[in-house]
Amino acid sequence: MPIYDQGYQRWKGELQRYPVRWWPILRHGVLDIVKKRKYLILLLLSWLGPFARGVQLFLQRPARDLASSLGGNLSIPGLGGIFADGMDFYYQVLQQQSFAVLLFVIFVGSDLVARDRRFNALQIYFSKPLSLNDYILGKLGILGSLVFFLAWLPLILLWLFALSLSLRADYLQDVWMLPLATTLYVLLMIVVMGLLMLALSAIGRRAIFIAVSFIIIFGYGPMQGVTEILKGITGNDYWGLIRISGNLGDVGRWWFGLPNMNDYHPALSLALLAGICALAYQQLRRRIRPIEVVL
Amino acid sequence: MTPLATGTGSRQGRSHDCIKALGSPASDPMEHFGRPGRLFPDDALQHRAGQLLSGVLFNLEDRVAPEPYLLETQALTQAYGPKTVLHGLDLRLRPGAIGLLGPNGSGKSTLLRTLLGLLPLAGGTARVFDLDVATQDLAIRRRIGLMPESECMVPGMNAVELTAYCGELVGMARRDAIERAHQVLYYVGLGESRYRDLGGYSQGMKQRLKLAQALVHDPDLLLLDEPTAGMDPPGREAMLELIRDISGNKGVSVIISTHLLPDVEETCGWVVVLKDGRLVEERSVQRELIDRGVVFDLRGRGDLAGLAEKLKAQGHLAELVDETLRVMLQRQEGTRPVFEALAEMGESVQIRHLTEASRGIEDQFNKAIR
Repeated sequence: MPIYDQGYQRWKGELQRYPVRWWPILRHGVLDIVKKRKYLILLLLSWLGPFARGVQLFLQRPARDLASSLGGNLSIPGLGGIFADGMDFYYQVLQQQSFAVLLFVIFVGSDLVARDRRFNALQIYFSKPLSLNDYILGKLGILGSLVFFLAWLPLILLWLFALSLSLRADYLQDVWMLPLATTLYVLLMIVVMGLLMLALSAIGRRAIFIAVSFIIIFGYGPMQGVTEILKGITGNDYWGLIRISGNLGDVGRWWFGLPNMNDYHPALSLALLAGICALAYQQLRRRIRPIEVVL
Repeated sequence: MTPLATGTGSRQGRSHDCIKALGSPASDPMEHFGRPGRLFPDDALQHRAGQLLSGVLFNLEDRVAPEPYLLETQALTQAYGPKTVLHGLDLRLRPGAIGLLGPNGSGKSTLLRTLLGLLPLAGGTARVFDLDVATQDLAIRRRIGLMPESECMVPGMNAVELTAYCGELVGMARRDAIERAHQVLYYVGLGESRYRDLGGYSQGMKQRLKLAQALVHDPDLLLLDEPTAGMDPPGREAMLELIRDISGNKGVSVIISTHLLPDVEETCGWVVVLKDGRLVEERSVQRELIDRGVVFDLRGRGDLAGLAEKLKAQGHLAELVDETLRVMLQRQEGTRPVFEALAEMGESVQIRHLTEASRGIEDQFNKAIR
């Protein structure tokens, strides 16, 4: 009968030579979300909007034919955009999806770092060969995957669908820049919303506090009203710069080739967003520490 | 690691390397054991005691090449803001089981964190596996496993997921990490409860899980910060047994930071004592003394010299110093030879006092931090 060593066994395998160190954090984080039924249902529900837009695109052709047979002048008051399939159409879809993105960033993001701090998990992470940037990238990647799934993917699929329906060269000429604009804009959303949320999550410990702070700082709720009032009283568009969500929208319109709605150039909004990202990153570096030092 | 002839020789061999690292002459091992004081004033007896106590250890001298240093620090200084926690620490430790002792606030945990590269150095240098802590911290952490002192877990995972996740973070392929997670969880005794919710784990189970996550990638060095904290006696004994197995038989070096002296005494071959961030003692745990022999001091009336001669005749080491007879006996025999000799000598000698001369590491520690 063979005798087996019941003691500690050395591992015969080899560690990966060049591991993507943030990848396990991202993968685990995404799986953790997908495992929860409430998030899964919410993710599927958030695709209803793009699906409806797909149906809209599909019905446009017979509607256009009908319009031309009726003399080419079909007008439905209040629904002027129903026949739109240009860049503004896609921008509308993106704005529509931004709400779902916001919900997920708040629900998922508010606990991403705070929970690790509550459970003392940071010392586990940083006792492994993981740098602070790897950790931040991994956590940002979790939010990035959600934004990618909720905003980038539906838009690109709609674009491909619209292309396959129209099969017109002039249509492609109108919307050829959509993938690039969408990718850039979604990346900007990920970086701005993600870093801001992670920074708040690293500062606070309670998810509800973090969520409310994010809504206010990002420019929803009371901030939206305050900005509008200030703009109305002073007649100065520059007050819009204090809303992060407004700045994001301005840059989005710029990159989608839509007319600017403010007195200032959207590059100013972009510069402001870059500054906010730098601040959030600095906060993250300050707040996320492998060890808590109490002097 | 150089294979040694016997199972116990491995640990002893490493201890010997440590002794040589400090420049102690290998020909006179008691110079090392007796740093705070020799056991026997007589040189011949002292030398003989050393040979007996060390057993195979010193006979292996010619065959065992000194291993490279596990870690080296030179004038290592560490500070939290204005408060200096480590003051110019000079350490050179070879692979083995090392105990890091010191009272609370002495800088033990800070030293461990520094060795992991988690704190920027305030001064001096530190090298682990001959890698610079300041610039090669990630490479060092690939070869180190840390069992933190405080309770910690990655939420939303069971033991298998957590352990495998830790393996992946170090750079193991997912499949390897899962396979290895099962293996180490069985090893630390969590095999049956590895899928249970971590919230229901007892303190002892949490300690074992922390050990498992530190072991999953099979590190060359294991840093254990208070490994038996909060454990009941059977759990503590089981944990110490695991540590002994890992460090003693499988070539994994271990640094145990603790304030529990028996933990170090039972598991380590070398001890470093810190006080107020300064090195106050660095020496071998007198394991050989603990394992192989006990030295007793006898005082009494009558023919103590005759008793000494009788014990010598039986092959024991004995010497009369002033009014005290110091004798070294085999641990397994206990004091039986003394009483047998006394019985043979009848009423010519009376023993009034018999105490163990060496009480191990506790004495050394107390002396060091005093």
